[in-house]
Amino acid sequence: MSWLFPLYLAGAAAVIVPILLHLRRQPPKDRVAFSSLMFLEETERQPTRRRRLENWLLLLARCLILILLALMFARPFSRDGEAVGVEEGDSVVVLLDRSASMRRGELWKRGVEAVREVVEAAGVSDRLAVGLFDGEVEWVMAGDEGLPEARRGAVTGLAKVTPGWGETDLGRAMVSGLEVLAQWNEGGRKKRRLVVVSDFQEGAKLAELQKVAWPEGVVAERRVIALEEEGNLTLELVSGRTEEGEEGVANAEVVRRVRVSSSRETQQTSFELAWEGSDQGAVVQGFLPPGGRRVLKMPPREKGDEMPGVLKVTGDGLEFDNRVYVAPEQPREVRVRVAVDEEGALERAASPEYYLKRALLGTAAVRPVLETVTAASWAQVAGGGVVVSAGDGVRLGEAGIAAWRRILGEGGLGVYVVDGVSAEAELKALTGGLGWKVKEGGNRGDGAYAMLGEVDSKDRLLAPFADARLKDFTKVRFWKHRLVEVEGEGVKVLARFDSGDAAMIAVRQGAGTLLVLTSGWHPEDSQLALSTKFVPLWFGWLAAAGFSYEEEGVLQVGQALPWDFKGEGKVTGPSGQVGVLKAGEAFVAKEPGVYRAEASGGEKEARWFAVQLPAGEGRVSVMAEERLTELGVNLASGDEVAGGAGEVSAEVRERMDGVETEAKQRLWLWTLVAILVLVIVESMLGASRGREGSVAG
Amino acid sequence: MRIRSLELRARVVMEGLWKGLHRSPYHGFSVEFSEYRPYVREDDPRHIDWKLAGRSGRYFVKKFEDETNLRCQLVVDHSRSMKFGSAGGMTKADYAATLAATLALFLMKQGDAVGVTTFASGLAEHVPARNRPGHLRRLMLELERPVQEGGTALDVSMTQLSELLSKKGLVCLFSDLLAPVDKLERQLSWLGAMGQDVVVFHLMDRAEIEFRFEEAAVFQDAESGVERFVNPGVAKEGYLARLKAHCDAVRLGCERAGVEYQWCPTDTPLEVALFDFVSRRDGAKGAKKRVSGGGR
Repeated sequence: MSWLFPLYLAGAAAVIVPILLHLRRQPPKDRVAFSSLMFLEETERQPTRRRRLENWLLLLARCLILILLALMFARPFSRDGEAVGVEEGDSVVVLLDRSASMRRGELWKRGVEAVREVVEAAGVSDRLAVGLFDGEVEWVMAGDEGLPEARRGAVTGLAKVTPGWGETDLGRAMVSGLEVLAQWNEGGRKKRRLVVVSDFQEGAKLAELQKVAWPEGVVAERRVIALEEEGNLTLELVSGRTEEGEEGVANAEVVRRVRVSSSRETQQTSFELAWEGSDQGAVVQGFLPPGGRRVLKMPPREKGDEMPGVLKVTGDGLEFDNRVYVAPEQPREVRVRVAVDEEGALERAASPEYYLKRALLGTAAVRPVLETVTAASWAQVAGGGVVVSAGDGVRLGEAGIAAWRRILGEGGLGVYVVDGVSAEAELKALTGGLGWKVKEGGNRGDGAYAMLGEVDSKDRLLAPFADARLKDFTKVRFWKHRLVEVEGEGVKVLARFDSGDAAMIAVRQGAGTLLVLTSGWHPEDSQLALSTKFVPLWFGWLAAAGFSYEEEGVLQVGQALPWDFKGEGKVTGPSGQVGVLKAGEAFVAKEPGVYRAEASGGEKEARWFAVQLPAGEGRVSVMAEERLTELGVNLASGDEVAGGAGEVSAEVRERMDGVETEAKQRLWLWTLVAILVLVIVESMLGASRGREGSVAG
Repeated sequence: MRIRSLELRARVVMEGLWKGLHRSPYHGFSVEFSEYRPYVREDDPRHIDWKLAGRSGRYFVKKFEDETNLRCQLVVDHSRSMKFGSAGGMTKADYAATLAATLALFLMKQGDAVGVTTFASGLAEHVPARNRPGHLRRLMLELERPVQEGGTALDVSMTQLSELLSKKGLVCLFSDLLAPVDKLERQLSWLGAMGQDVVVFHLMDRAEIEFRFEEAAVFQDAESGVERFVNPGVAKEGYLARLKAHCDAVRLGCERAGVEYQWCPTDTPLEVALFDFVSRRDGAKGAKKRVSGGGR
């Protein structure tokens, strides 16, 4: 039995008053004159020396009333979970943050300690679940009402775990906790608590909490584990890269940017940005005010971009968020086979192939390799890729058509320029029965020209022109074009001339796409090859056909690598560990660094991925309580762990537990009932004694 | 007690009694009531009313007036125990005085001689029975005298009284009899043997009869001043048992001594008490006459 206000117990000393009153025997107050005492016998007086407790029952009742009053004010409660009977205990869900920010200092150790305290304070009848959370929630102990020893064992196991590198999705974790509590609620538990042990950093995500209404009866307890306020510099990769350089100049420099931000508490304002390890490159030095941020170009690397690199900012005490990982540039090689009637066509000026070679120079994402194929050599062509027939009288021949059909069927891209009526037969052969009709007729002559009237920029193949600023094709003039008509399944006209004639037709052909152009790009037919649209048009086609790696943005810990393993594959992590994946499996990065994914199946492909620390983890200042309450979280009042190094002392916590337990057990109410019963008994006893004419005590 | 004057009080009581008697079937109360009765053997032939015998041819004995004159001595207890009266009621002394005064008035009106004797630890005052103008006044004064200091010495008083009474008559004893009564029977028998017709009015207060006390207290004896702590809750049972034994002893003693015993709780209305007495006297009168009056 414990007491909330044990000082009141001193009030029980008041029992001495009724005892003394009972001991003090009151002499009879009055004398009664009576006619004669001859029939009256003297009643034996109780001896004064041997003071006997008169009416001990009455005294007992009065003393008990006083004692119970003192007990009631002292607010008794039982710490023993079983002492209060068989009633159901509390439901407690404990969530421990294991995000990257918990790697700081001794936060993890203290977090585990805090969880241990909660677990040990839980009664035997309490239902308890313990979960670790970062971006996801992992349940360590899932609600089994085990013995305290088993629970302690589970918590001790936590000490061996190290925090991960994940982000802090506090919202999702709390919602998961609420779901667990909601499942348990069927048992009609008395009190439902959601205890979150975390550093409650500002960067934690709370969005999930907006989706749920906080259930009634659930109290969230904030146990803040935080370090002393300390400045922090965070380095982040900025999504997207640009290619700088003069327009039209090949091999433009790829520029990537990083963002350096400092926390409000930062004292030091200077920082240094440098490549880590043997990769000695330029060093950038800068200044940053507290709470400021700067976006900087990555300094150039000495050895170029062929190897993975780590860029590090120095200038603060918290190392964990100071690095950005950079994957090597890795353009994808794609073979572009151009049908020619003779070798050397690529160098013949004014031919379509000539312009093609000059346009497809390669980017950071894709590196086209041009090959010329004569009608005779189509049979030797193996593998997929892009096939091009640029018109200008070049014919594919039977072998060519067979090779095209194969390549298109495997997912390749074919670009076929219709140069005359003779192309109709080839188109029919290529598409296997679609009714193509090709007519000459688009030749205006006399300086007349056609322009592209409708461009379906919503189509994947024309995606680079989705931006309204780039959609303007009015500067491109077409001198000649053929009238091509086709109908059937999988046929789509992507662009039309202002006359309404089809300019660009896409035909689904197996897994691949056949693009049919009714006008060539060389100057004899049009100005297309000379316009600024030509290069983006081609790279748009290559990207849409899947020959370019998409811009992956910034990959973060906890996200799956954007790699579709068609066969088996393996992923080599930053510290050399290897994970083997089966087809269809996704690989989720657990730590920041550069990963190398290799497909071990048919295609010998490999790719680098740079995985960064989640963006919000660097913002380590303690989140304001209001941010939670604004989202409807029912925070327990007054029992948060103080920020900084301060933890609530065991004494205070014990007292808080006592207040809760007392409020739950309400033993004082029963004490009050007992007092009332005793008062009634006392009154009855007193009345009966009065009737007997006893000396009032 | 609304009427302070004893005489007036006595008159009020007597008038009430008188009226009650007139309406009652029991008429003919006085011992001096003269009458004719048939002559029986051994009657003195001198008492035969010859005139009547001459008219009717039957012999009737005629009683003389003076023969029916009664000498009544009212013996009133003036001990301190008589001062006791429960709240609101009369004290026993008041009750006894009123009863005696009423009786005196009643008897004087009939021409009987009435005397008063008061006693406590011994005889206090003694006014012999007379019937002459002004005597009633003296009787009233005597009865109105406050009670004496001292206890009840019943045996001493009775002995002294028997010495003082020389002629036959009626002796009415008004007392609470709160004294040892072991000799009472003998003394009453003695008075009876002396030719006194004795009536005992046993006065008791209701509080004495039922002992209605609740609080424990020190009880003080009115006569001796002795104090005794009594818890009524404890002592009541014994008290009532002893009181009952005492009263039984008195009543049995009276019966054995041939003395009339009148139980008079002081909360009984005076008329009722007197009426009871008168009724019983009337019933007993005939028999007595036959025994005593025939001898004259």
